[in-house]
Order: sequence, then structure tokens, then C-alpha cells
Amino acid sequence: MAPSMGLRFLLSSIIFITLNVCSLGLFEDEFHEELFIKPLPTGHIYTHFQFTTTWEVELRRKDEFLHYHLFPKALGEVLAKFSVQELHLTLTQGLWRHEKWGYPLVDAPPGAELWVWFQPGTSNVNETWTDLINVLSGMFCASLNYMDAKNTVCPKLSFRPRGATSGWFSKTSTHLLRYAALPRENVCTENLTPWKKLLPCGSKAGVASLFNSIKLYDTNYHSLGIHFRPVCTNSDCTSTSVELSQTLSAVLEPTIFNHGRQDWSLKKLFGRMIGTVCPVAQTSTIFVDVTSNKMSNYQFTLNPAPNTVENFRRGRTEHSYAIYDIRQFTERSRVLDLSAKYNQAITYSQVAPPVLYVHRFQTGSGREKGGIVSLLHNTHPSQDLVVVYMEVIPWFLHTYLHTLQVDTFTAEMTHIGINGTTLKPLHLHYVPGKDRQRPYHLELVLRLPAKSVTRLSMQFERALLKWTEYPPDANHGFYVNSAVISAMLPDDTADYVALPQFSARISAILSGNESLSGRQFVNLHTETLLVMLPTPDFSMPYNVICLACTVVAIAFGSIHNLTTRRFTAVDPTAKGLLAKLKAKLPFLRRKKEGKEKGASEGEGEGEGVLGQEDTGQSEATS
Amino acid sequence: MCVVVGVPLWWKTTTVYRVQLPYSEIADLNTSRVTFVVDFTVTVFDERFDAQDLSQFANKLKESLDAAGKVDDRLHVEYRGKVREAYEEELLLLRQMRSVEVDNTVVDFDHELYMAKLDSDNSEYTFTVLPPSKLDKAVVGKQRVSHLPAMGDLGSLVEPLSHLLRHVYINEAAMLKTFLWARGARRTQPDKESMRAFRSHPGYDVTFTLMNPQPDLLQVEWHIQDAVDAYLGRLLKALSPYADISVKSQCVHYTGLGIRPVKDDTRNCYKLKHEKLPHVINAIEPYLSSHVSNNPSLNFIVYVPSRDQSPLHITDANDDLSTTDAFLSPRWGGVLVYNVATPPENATYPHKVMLDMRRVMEVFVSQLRLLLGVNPQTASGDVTVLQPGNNIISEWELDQWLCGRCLENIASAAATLQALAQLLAEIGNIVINDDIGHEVQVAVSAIKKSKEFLSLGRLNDAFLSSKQAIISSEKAFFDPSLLELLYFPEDQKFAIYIPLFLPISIPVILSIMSSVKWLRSKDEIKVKSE
Repeated sequence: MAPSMGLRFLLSSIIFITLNVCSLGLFEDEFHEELFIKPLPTGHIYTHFQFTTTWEVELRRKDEFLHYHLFPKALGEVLAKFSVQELHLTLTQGLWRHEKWGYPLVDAPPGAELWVWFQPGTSNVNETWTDLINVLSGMFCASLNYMDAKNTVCPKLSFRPRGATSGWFSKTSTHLLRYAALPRENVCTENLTPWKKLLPCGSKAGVASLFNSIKLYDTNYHSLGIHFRPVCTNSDCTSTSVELSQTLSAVLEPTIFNHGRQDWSLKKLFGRMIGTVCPVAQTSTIFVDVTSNKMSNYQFTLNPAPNTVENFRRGRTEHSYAIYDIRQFTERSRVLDLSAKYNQAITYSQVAPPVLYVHRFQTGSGREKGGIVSLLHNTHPSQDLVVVYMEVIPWFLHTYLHTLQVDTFTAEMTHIGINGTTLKPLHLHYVPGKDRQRPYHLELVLRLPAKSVTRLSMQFERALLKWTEYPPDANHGFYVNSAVISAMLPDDTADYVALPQFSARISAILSGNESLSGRQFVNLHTETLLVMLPTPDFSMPYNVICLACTVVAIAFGSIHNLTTRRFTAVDPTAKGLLAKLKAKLPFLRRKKEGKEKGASEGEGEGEGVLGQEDTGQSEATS
Repeated sequence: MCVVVGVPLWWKTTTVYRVQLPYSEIADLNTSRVTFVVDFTVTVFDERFDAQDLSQFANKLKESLDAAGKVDDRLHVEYRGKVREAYEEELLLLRQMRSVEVDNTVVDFDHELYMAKLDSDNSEYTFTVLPPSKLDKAVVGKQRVSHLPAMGDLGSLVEPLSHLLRHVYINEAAMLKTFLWARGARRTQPDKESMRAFRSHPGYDVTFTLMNPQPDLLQVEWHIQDAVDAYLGRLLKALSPYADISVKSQCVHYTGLGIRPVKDDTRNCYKLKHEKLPHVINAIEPYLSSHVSNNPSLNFIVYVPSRDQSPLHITDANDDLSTTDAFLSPRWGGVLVYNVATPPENATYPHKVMLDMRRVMEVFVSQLRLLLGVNPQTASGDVTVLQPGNNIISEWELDQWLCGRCLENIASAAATLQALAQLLAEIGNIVINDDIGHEVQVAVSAIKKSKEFLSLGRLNDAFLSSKQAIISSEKAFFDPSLLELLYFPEDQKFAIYIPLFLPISIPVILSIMSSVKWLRSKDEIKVKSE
């Protein structure tokens, strides 16, 4: 009984997404640019650029996706052609450390991740997905075309639509959803350039003018994102519009270039300042999270002073954001260089981890078998957490469901691994992989007890690949996707503010809707794994060919010689080549003559010399 | 045993799968003649002529057209006409037509005649011979009807009539040129017209782009949706059975021209020099590509000059200002420089500007006609051509376009198949799978069908078949499975065999050399002994 109850509760909290208010102006489309800056307790600075374009068109009517104003035409064409309901693409370099940094506004795994809901009525979803990934891969200069059937799954519970949906999507069927991730994908400027091109002002004006590739890619974490979804245009949700949210997150470390001090400024972080706003943007805003000023002794002052400081409650925590309207600061060709100065140098201490965080690693040794272990930490003092855990394991790691073991340990125990109690998953969805066709896909619903660590482990066997299936640099190893954990956090979670569902804009966080201050949805991605597979010596076949051929050739040569030559007695008076040579050199001749004299005296005549002669020669002499 | 089992097994596992293709038919397609039949009717309204005059005229006309019909050994136009007297209803229409000079009455008559639909379905060309009191000059109507004044006797009409038919309606010379060009005959020198228009394609993407390099100063807006509906709607509707044309638009901010205009102090403006124009489109190019379509894209750019380069004009080779401030880039699209007035002193920025879509679309419609390859109306001195007006393309122009495209499709599909057949013959290792075989079959039969329809004078069906032919032939030619061609490239075979054959060949060659030597010496001995 308990599992089904838990499942129902979870579904009700994750699946049924109802949208509340969305106020739009009179214009058909609008664009907002926002920058969110949050100093992290480890001395890092989290910066999140949020560009939101909303356009009042009916998603299902393709003939409305013809005339574009602020919405990028290149992307709009793709979305209309492939009947996309929702699209979420992230390209990330580096790992977000939840344990130390808390939760980001948009979570993303290292590498590339794409999940797409197609519109109901899409005839051949697999084919549409294949076409879509090929187009997107060309558009963003990323190897998304490798997201083929071999690493694509239809998650049952983890990825529900994020936007306004018709009743159709509230059913549990997910055959219109596709999810794939490429953990090995590298992200660099060649991905940023096409991403920037989708912005109405590019990087020529507004907060996007801070994009300085040298600084942006010299960071601890960097993530680009494109999120497309339909949203409601009014409170009753009688009509919908589409929302494109482009995000860029970067975690920078000012302490490195600042002699250990945490002070920062836009100029120091990005090497640039903001001189203009994007003129087509409805709002251009910078938000600085100043909540930590109230919590600790280490306080920073912002210069210039913000327009306003807004306080709002989320759960039991009071948050405050300093807000800058860039338009006011850049009037009359002034530039805005936002800076923060701390009152004292910070001595870092251990950071309190967030409510839920996960570590994942590989176990086992040798190149035959191994295991994957995830440790799910629930640090909440009193509440259990229901989470959905999703794992997509490539087909070449043969995973066995019977080896799946979930144990939970209370936090008092120092050693995880002894005296655990077995935890029964509330729900389990498992699709075994097929060689060269589909990956192993596991989804679990778990109830994590309060103040506990849950250990989830699975064993796998490494497969032998065909020699053409190895990538270049095969000894580097093979990556395994991040596991994805989805959960609704209890309302007293400190230090986390999720974006509300009705809008991707940061200002929507402040809109003070009381119904929002409840439980918050969080999506976590774990570390990726690097697995070594048994790798052959690729030059071996050629070596074998060469060696075998040489042996054959040597054998052939001697047999050929033996069969085609005849051994005959050579007339000792007929001088060979060596004798002729000797005859020509007077010194040698003298010596030899002396020797021959002695020899003939001792042994007499009749000395036969066996000489090899070619058949032709011997015939000729005879 | 080894041989009995091994040889067939080896043969089976190493043969390349190749579907049999109709090679001889493909070769025939490329050499056989295309015959095109044109049906027309001459309706004589002038009551001075009797039945005998008419039949005499018909014979004369037939003779004259038969002599001219053979355009080339590869392309043959056959004119098939009949001459008749006007029906009562038609005469009634004529009587309603009042005077001679006023153009409108001809237009009305033209229209009424078309609406009356007396000749079956109006798909034939019709020439009306009107009494000179009603008309003083030949007029080409909007549909497929031309009006000729009967100045002298009927015989004098043979010349202008066959001129209209051959050089206005059919335009034999242009047709032959497209046909030969598509066939890949490099001997024909490309001319301006054939270089300008896009080659025949099943679809085109038309994109209108508004470029505003200074959105902080000017907020430029346009009613593009309404303009497209109003100015292009009928054209798109007329072409929709034949080509899949999609029209889209976008706004691009903060992107300027690729070059700096030169300041002209005497005229107090900035100018873009004629020879620099090709560089202009480079800066915009990244915003124009489409990721979802393989169709050629026609780009129409409206550029609102930035304030520091305004007003901006285009100059021609003689340094004269262009009247339209627009230019056309062959097989690419067109650019219009749209100068807007300087905002007033006390304006709040960004200053709102609304574009006059009539001014924009006038330019782009004429450019679109050229780019699609609708030949401009050839109005010579003694012929008036009625303007198609809102339709943008008159029916006979559409016929001409269809005919040209159809011939081009036939020729290029045949040439593609020929190239494919040649490639497959040259490289024996290429796999030809069933899909390719099927596409080739479809293309071959579609070309044949299209030719048959042409010889029956059914242009519509001929075009649709030729479109099918070109789609199938391109699909077969660009099938990705052809690229996975070589099971084992020749150089790799060499790399594997050389460690074996090189050491083995050394003793073999040496012994061959010595046996040759021995044979020679044996001959010498024989000679000596003799």
C-alpha cells in the first residue's frame, strides 16, 4: 500500500503542473535580459544570465511561425518543423558541486543534455527526434547527432513537461518524450557564438556585452542553456504563448586573482562593463543576492548602490535581492561597473550541505566487472524525502537488475556500508539495454529517511566492442551519463530559490505570489563516470599480417631456391668470381700461391669444391 | 571439394549487391528528342472574311509555323491550331466594347472573353482577329488571349501571329537555352538571364529581412504579414500547385553592411558603389541560413541606414544615383536601402518609424519575378502587353514559366541519371540498393511520362511529372548509401598485400631473370653449334 501511496503523492507533486499568472504587455512579443549574481559561501561567484523571449503565438499552429520579430527565426523554424512542445538543451563544462554551492537556478550535467517533448499527433517520434538532433547539432556546433537510439530513452517520471500543457500530457504515457545526454561533449566558444546569435541584440548591447570568451571559459563551471516551452498568457490559462529562455551560468573564482579576497566587480569578473541596454528589451536588470549579508559577519557593500533591495520569503527563509535597473545606470553614456567590497577577509569554514545531495562513483577493479554506487544524502533533520532517481547506462556496460541494492544508513554511523537497512523502492521502472541498440534505463522512486545516507549500487560487466566502435583515443575511457535526481524539497529548505513555473524570468521570483512559497522542485545531476573498457592493441592486426607475411615470404624464398636450383660439381680449374678478383690483386695472389703450394704438397690433388651454380650456368658449363 | 564449396562461397560473400538499372533507357533519355505541342485557336471577329478566307489563312499559317517549328534537333515545337469564326456570344461582347484607344475597354473585353469560357477550359492560346475599327495595335491579354487588328487581308496576319506565338508566348530561344543549359551542354555561353534566375527546384524559401543597425535610435516596424498577403498572395496561390514556396520574415538588429559607404559631399549623401555591392551581403549571411530546408532561399533585405550614414544611395557604374536604391544579386535575392527621415530634434529615442510596405514590395515583387525566372514581358513597338496587375504573373507567363521549368527538369533529371549511371559504371564497388533502383525507375518513367504529356500539349501534367522526375533522380544520386561505397579501398588492400608479395616476388623475379638469361645463352649455343 505504502509504495502506491508514495507514488501517487509524487506524481501529484511533479506531474500536474498548473500555471498561475503570467502578465504580458500589449505587444505580441517581448524580451527581457537579466543577470543574477550570487556570492557562494566558498568564495566563488555564481553568475546567471537569463534572456527570456515570450511570443504570443499558438504553439500548435505552424502557420503562425512565419514572421519573426524578437524570437529567433533560425530556432523558431526548427521548433515548428519538428512539432516541438518543449525543448531543453544544456551544454556544460565542469561539474556543479551541490554539496558546497547549493542549488543553481537551472541544473545541468557535465557535457550536453537534451530532452524534448513532441506535440501530440507527431507521427514518427523516433524519426523526428533523429532529424531534430541532426539540425540542432548543426545549429549549435555540438555533436548532438550522437544522441541516437544507442543513448536515448523515454523517462517515465523524471522529466515531466515544465510549461503549460493540455490535459493530454497529464497522462503517464511518455512516448512523446526523448531524453539523451552526451557526457563527453566539450563546450567552448564555438557553441557560444551560435547561441549568442539567437539573442535579438547578440552580444553587442545589454548584459550580453559582458560575454568575453576568455573570461567566460576560464571558470570553474560554465553552462549554456536553451529552454523552450509554452506558458499561459492569462491567469485562467485560456490561451498560451511560447517562451524561449536562454541561460548562461558561470561560476567564477575571484579569490584567485584577488589575493585571496572575495571582492569582485563586473570588470574583474568579465573584463568588461555594461555600457548600454539592449534597446528592444522590455527590462534589463541585475539581481545580486545579498541574503548572506544578514546571515554572517562577513558583509559586502555594493557600489553603486542598487535601485532597491527587495525582501521576500521562501519557506522559512527571508531572502533579499539588490536590484539594478541597468537603463537608469547607463543613461547619458555612463557605464555600469558593479562592484562588491567585503568588510573583512573571509576565513572559510565548512559549508553546511543542502538538504539533498548525491555522490556517485565507480567500484571494482580490473577490466571485466565493476559497479556503480550512488550515495544519496538527505540532511533534513525531520522530514523524509521522496526522490526519483534515474540512471541511463550505455549498452556496453551490461547491468544486472538483480544486483541492484538499496541500503540506507542513519547519519550517526561513521562507516557507510555496515548495518544498513534495505530500502524498498516505491516504484521501479527498468528497461534492459540491447547491444548496439538501446541503453539500460533505470528509474527508481525512493523515500529517503530523514538524516540518512542511502547507498544505491549496481554491478555491471564490461562488454567487448568491435574494433571499429572504439573512439579515437580509446584508452581515455568511456563516459557514463550523470544520474538525474528529481525531488520536491520541503518548504523549510534554506538557501534555495527555484524559478517559479509560470515564468523563467528571475524577476518572477520576487513577484510575491503566496502560493509559491511552498515546496520547491529540484533537479540534480550527479558526477559523470569514466569507465575503462578492455581495449585491444589496434595495430595488432597489421603487425600480425606483416609478421605472418614475412614468415611466409622467408619460407617461400628458401623453398623456391631449393626447388629451382641444382647442385653440381664445379670444375675446380674454372675460376669463380672470387678467384678472379684475387687474381687481380697482386698482394692476395702472392699469399694464396704460397698457401696452395703448401696444400698441394700435403694433400695432393682431387679436391672437389662444391659450388652453387644456377641451373643456367651449370648447363652452360656442361 | 574445396573448389566446389569454396569458390561459390567466396563468390557469394565478396560480390557487391547491385540492382540492375535501366542503363540503355537512361542513355536514350539523354539523346532522344523532346516534342512539345502547342494548341491555339484563331477566332475571327471581323465579318468581312468568309469561310474560304479562313481556310486559306489556316493553311498559310500552318505552313509558316511548320517551317519554323523545328527549333533544334533535340527540341521540337509543334504548333497545332484551328481557325474559326466568332460565336454569337463573342460578337455580342465585342459590340459592347466601345472605342479603340482606351486601354480599359480592351482589358474589359479580355476579361469578359475569358469569363465567358467559350473555348472548353481556356487552356489553349486564343488569338482574336478584331476589325480595325475596334483595335489599332496587337494586344497581349492577361490570360491566354491576344487581340490582333485585321488591317489588310487575313494573310498579312500570319507574320505577327506567328511572332506572338513563337517569341512572346513560347519564347523558343529562351526555352532552348534553358533546355541545353540544364542538359549540361557547356558549349552554350551562360547569359545574364539564365544566371540570374534560380534553377528549377521543387520548392523555394522566401525570406524578408529587416535590418536595423541602430535599434537604440530607430524602432523600425513593418506590417510584413499584411504586405505578403496583399502583394504576394495571388502569386503564391498561382504557383502553389507547382512549387512549394514558403514566405518568412525576420528582424535583425545591430548588423550593418559589410562595407563603409563613401561620403558624397556634392549630393550631401552617402553612396554605395556599384562594384562594392557584392560585399554588402556578407555581413548578413549568417542570419539568413535555414536549418530545416534544402530549398534554395531567396533573400530580400530591407536595410535602414544608420544615422551616421544617412541618406544612403546606390550608384551605378556611371556614378549616377539609382532610382530605386535597390539591387538584385543573382540566385541570392535583393537588397533595398530604405532611407527614413531624420527624427525631429526633440524626439525620444528610440524613434518609431513605420515602413511603407508598398514601396518595399514594389521592388521585391519585380525582383522575385526575375529570380524565379518569369521572363520580363517583351513589349516591342507594335505589341502592347497588358500588365498582370495584382496577379503579378499572367497566365501565359505562367505557362511559359512552366514550360521552361518542365524542359529544364527533364533535361537535368536525365543528366543526373546519366551521371549516376556513369559513376556506377566506373566504380564497380558501389552498392546499389533497392531504394536507389526504385528511385531510378521512378525517375525514368516520370521523364518518359512528362515527354509524352508534352507531346500531347498537356503542360500541367508534364510539369508535375518532370518535378517527380527531378525529385527522384536527385534522391537517387544523393543517396547516402552510395557513399558507403568501398568495402575495401584499393590502397588498403595494397598495404596488406605488400608485406606478403614484396619478399615473395624478389626470389621469383631473380629466378625469372636467370631463366631468361639461360634461355638466351641456350639459343647462342644452338647458333654456335649450327
